[in-house]
Amino acid sequence: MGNIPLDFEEFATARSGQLFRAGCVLTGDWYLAEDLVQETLGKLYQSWRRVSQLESPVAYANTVLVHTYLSHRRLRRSSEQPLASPPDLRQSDRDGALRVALLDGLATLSARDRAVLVLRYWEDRSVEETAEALHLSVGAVRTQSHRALQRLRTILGDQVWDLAGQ
Amino acid sequence: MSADPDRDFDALFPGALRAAGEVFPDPPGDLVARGIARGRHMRRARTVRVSATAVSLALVVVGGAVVGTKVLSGSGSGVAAAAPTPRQSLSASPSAPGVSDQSMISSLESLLPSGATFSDATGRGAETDPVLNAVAPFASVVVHTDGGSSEIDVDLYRVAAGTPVTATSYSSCPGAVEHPYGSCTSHTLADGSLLKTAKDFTRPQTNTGQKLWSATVIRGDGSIIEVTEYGGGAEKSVTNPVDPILPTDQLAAIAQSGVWQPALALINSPGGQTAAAPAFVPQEKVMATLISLLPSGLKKSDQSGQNGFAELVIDDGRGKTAVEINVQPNMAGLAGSMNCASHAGQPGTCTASTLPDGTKEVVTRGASPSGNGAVVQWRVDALRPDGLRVVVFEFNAASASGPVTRSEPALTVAQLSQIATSQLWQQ
Repeated sequence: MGNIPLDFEEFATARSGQLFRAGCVLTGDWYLAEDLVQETLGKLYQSWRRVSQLESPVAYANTVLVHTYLSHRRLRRSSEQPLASPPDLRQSDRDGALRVALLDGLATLSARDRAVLVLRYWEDRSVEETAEALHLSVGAVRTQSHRALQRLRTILGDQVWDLAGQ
Repeated sequence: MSADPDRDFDALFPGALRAAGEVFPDPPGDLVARGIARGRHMRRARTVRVSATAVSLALVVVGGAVVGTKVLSGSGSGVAAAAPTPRQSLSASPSAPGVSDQSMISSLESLLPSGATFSDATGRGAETDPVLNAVAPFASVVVHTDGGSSEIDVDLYRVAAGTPVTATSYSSCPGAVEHPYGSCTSHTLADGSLLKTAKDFTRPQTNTGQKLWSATVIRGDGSIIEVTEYGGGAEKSVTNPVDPILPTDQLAAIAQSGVWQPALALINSPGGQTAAAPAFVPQEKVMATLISLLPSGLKKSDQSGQNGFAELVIDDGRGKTAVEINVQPNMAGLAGSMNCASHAGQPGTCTASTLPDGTKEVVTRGASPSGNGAVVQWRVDALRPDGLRVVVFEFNAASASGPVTRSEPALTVAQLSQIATSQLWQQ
């Protein structure tokens, strides 16, 4: 791969799956997640010499993904150049239906709320770390998390209790 | 049941979220390579941008003074307000196209209501769009007025190289299969451009939720200016169907404004198309070929499409079936995911095979993604060795979202396969 630092490709290969799934949860859209990860990897590549020296390139990559998501513009539209439908995510089993219900619920939240939830609960970051990554106050992260979870709980209704059985 | 449901849900949520993420299949096999290619491009673009920054900043100041004629603040005749732009001063400096990320944002904001405030502004100037593989400037802001908020985007791009620009290729309104609740009109303007305005929903398979209105101008030279507006605020930020603040005629005025001339000049220049854009099969050819491959004796209705895409409804006398087809060149990069492993975890059945001519075929039968579990979707995805991909879908309904019209779609999977793998698509 020419003059690419060797470990970038290794890092990207190891992390692309997780970044992609986080992108899917953020966007709810397989194709959009693909664009998002491509853009994120591009940004990491650009600055890899610096990024690779960081204490946690993985955390940095996830932060870049979320920032990219928050500023990402939808590039593909069905009215421009329609592509095949994204993979069908519907599940026939009960657990699958719950997962889809959760994703549908996430899709009703604002982009910033989803970003907060993904960093806090997908990436398992503390409130303080989430606040730092999103340039928000600790209080704002707490409030957004609480409101977003409350809203999800309302949307899911009684299915919330089925989650306990997963 | 717990005494504190909020606390219980908080505790369950991380695991549930991870489980939800697992329903998505693996990313495409070439994603890392594409990310590296994107990074290389960004590195090159950054070098160029540094030298152009000073020029761009100066132009923004000039533009702010000149394009202050708001499309929406005057007499209401938005189109008439479109003329004054900084174009003349820009054209005096041929080495500086003057289309930066910030100038795109400023141009859009200059056309929005006086007194409005803006947030979440993003834009792209002369940088190549990695998906379109061409220069495709855009700007996006969330506009706040006393009357409410809307996200407004403007996107400029060209039709794919070699695509004939006709009244039916890009200007046709979307069909009822994918946009059952939308309304759309299309007509020719005095200068020969085509104007399409549409009102729909952000999630077009429902008639609820955020509204999405748009205006698109397709010019005779193949350039397209598309203005999109999301009601209530940023895309998907609201769920109530509040009307966007600007009516579609004002979106049309934005699309026709002269402020986009520098960006149009850029995308129409030889350097604006950095490489051969994907040559989508003309809409008329897609539809004609699809119809020629359908069994005889079917009643056909609701025919529509765009380049590379067609949809129609067929009826064999036992209920309507929606059929959709995508014809996509240059998709060889998908070869690694033409298997059932890429569909793992999804309901229904999947079979994958390689045909004698090397075509990879994946057949799936399951629930329509937008049918609330009730609508059946059958799909045949065929990728030829030369990268030409044909994907055919059908539903047991006249729309991908229902309502159900019959127990199974009208065409057998074998018939779908014959359509997807036909040699006619390569002619």
